[in-house]
Amino acid sequence: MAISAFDPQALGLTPSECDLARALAGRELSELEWAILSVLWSEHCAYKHSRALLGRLPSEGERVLAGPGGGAGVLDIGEGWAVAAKIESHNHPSAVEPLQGAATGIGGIMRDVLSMGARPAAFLDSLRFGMPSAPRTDYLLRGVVAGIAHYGNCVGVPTVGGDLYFHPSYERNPLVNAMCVGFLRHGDLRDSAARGVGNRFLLLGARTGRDGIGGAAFASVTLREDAAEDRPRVQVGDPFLGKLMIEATLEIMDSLPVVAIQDLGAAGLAGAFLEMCAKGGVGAELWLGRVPLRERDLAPAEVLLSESQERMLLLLEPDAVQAAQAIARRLGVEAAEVGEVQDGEDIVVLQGDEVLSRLPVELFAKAPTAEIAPAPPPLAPPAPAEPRSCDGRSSLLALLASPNLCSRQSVYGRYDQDVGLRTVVRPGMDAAVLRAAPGAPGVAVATDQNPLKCSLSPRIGAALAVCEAARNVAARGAEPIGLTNCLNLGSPERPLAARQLVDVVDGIAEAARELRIPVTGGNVSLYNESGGQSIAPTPVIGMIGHLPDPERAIGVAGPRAGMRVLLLGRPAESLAGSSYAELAGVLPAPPDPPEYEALRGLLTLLVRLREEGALALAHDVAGGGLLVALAEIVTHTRLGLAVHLEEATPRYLFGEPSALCVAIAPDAQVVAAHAKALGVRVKEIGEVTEVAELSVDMPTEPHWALSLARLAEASRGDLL
Amino acid sequence: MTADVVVFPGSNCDFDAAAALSTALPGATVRRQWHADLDLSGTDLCVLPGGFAYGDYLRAGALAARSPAIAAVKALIARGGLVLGICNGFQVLVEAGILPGAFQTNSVQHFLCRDVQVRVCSTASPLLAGVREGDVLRLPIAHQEGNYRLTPPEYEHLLGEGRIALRYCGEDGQSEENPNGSYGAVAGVLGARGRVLGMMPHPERAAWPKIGRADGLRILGGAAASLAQGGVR
Repeated sequence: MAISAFDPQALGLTPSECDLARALAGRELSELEWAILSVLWSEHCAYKHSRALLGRLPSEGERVLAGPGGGAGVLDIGEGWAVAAKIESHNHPSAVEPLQGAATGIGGIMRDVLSMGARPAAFLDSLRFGMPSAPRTDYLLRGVVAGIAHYGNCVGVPTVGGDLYFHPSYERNPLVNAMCVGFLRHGDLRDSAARGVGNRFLLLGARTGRDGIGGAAFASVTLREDAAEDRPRVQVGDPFLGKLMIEATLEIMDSLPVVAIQDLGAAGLAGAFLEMCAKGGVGAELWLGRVPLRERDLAPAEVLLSESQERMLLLLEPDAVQAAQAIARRLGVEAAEVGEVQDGEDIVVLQGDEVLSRLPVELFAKAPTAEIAPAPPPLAPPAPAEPRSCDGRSSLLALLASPNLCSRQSVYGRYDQDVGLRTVVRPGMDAAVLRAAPGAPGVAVATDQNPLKCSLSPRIGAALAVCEAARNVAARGAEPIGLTNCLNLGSPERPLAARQLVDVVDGIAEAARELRIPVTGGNVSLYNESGGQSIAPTPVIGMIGHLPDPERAIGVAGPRAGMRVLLLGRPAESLAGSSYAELAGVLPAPPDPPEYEALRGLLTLLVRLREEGALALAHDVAGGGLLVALAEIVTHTRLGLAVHLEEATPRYLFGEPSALCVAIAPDAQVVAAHAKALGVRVKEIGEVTEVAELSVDMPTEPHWALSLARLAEASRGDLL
Repeated sequence: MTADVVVFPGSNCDFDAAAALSTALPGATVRRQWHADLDLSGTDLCVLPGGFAYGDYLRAGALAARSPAIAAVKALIARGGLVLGICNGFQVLVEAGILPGAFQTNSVQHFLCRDVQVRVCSTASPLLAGVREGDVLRLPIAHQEGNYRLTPPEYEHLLGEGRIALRYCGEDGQSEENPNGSYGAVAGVLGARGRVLGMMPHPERAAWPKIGRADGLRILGGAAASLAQGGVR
């Protein structure tokens, strides 16, 4: 991208932002300075429209070691171990170039986790596409999955989960939200605040090239009709170099005094360097001439703003620089000294001896905020009459075959799920389980959000996403201890999307408070629209659940024939917002709000049952409802279930309640006793059988059964 | 005994292999060694681990096969040491000419990660001291270029010498299953004197008895038994 315009407004800055910049600088800015500022003050880097709102999210808790604002949230998991986790979007690049867009998305979030001092241990990906019948969906889905496999498998970090939904609103604006989870010892926690006059900045990793220049600004506008022409703004990832960089960074952090560290992401070197200085409130020099370049004739603005991948910026005590460079050299990574913390409060950018810019650090400390003008809350449409009866068997088969409920095996089968030997439970149901190290504590992890529910009510949908993610980790017996979120919405300059932004923040805040789960940070991706159509509000939740002994998580040992099948929690009381309602055409009632009290009881119960070793399996009742959950247990365990259900109503069979799960136990009495003590409704509904089929008895309906083969065939999906 | 894991740039199963060896070989000294500084002078067993050595650029294993480490590996074999190549390590051994054959992209044309069954077809190696012919092991695979190719004469020759060590099979151990399209469903082969084993499945990922994944220990632990009965040198 040629950076030649002198009119700062042509770079996307508003007149008031230009005035503020001039006032802080005390003078007119140069072309180079405007170019930097236009990127730093873009929505993508500065969260202009959302920063104030995000303050509504509760972020404090006993286990929070690092909250929002850093590279990733960090939570205490005991025995001196901590988990770092963050989710981030890479939507626009993936819309234009799905393979590299997705690959660099996971590379980017991996560096965020690394920057906290953690070893990246797992990825989860939350993906959204238009309906499978739409012409570009197959191309985009294949490209994104190939990109995740290309980067993740090679860099040696397993992909252990995520979620995948199809909805028409994502047809031209797919979403790729990547989450990374890493583990660290408490003492290894790092931050990014530059400090200590004389300390040196070391730029580690890839050479700087022209790729991805202006990527942050690209992410801060809506996608154009001719979006393919934006392809040069998409970065290109090199997972091989990413792997070398992880090992070099960890070895340097392990053996040398690293004062601060930040990854290079949006706005490249300028972004990382200026944020580190602003966070520490220190002045510093940046030596552009020492940045290793991939091509010779890069202009200073390009060196500053290039989003070339696989780069980290470390701040070291001067004595440690040579040793750090020696480690990097041995491992095949370049490391160049590119700056120094200095007395005073000026940020000075030099090319050789020439001063290209001298500005007060204060200018970079805080980007201006932008007002939003949300539309008034929409009135909920009247609830339509619900069907009172249904053919359970055929509805189940139809739901299992639907794109949002069918098997995801063909997707995650392309990802390395095991590398690192931390994966105790692989992807496939509810939540994956990771251990930090052999014999160490671990976590259950899951991502969730339901576009249908969120389009019907952004606020309730967002709260339900928190609830579902919490149930997912609790199904492994884990206590939810923190969440990271990625808010994907349309243009905040439009009242409707602004309303949705407020609503999803409020929905997450409410659920997080009710369930006492701190929000440890995340990412906001606005301007997700194309051709005037905004996406369904998509607040993706990444949940971390704590497991003191991950090898004893619920489901590791697995069920056997003869064990009892129970329902824990409250069955659904309506079909609102369910997949069945969509299938039966009885939208658009907004989903029922979460039943927090019942859910709190259920979450506590599952943790206690794990401690007691009382469950062989638990499975959350969510998308598709109870019958779908039972069918999923059969296809997953390849055992049979014979159940006698209490009701045959559509809402009981297919409603999507906020506090219900199926549990399998060797002894139903033990479970019932604990449930009773916690006030959780419990109902024994049947047993596990040798015959691999789902056998269902219901009042007033004839008995039916579906074999494992029939269920597996129905849910095969063939997405890839 | 001493077991060394070679770390190439881009190896990513080196930590895993070292950890699993420590479990499988109690009392053994297990080290990770950077390929450029490889010293196998005191080594009994050398493992070339899985991963993407040199990013799999050019071809999987092709660049690592030109590392100075390969000379050290060959010297170890010449003095009777044992070498195990897992996944990418198998690809490196083939590219280095230490094992026969070649690799292509999986017949399904994409990366595959899942558990498979392999049947033990030969025990003509100290590395297979922990298994018997006909045993069926459940091990994970994770690869994109795992379609192992042999010419029919090469295959017959290896078969005749008892060097076809492992074959993919169905869950019952008898039925045929071939996840990646390998010639003869071959999942692992032996070198000329049984001192080298190359295999695509990951035994180090099945060295975790606490969660029911233990079959890999029978491969990794096998060497210990045979070494205890007379050693390598």
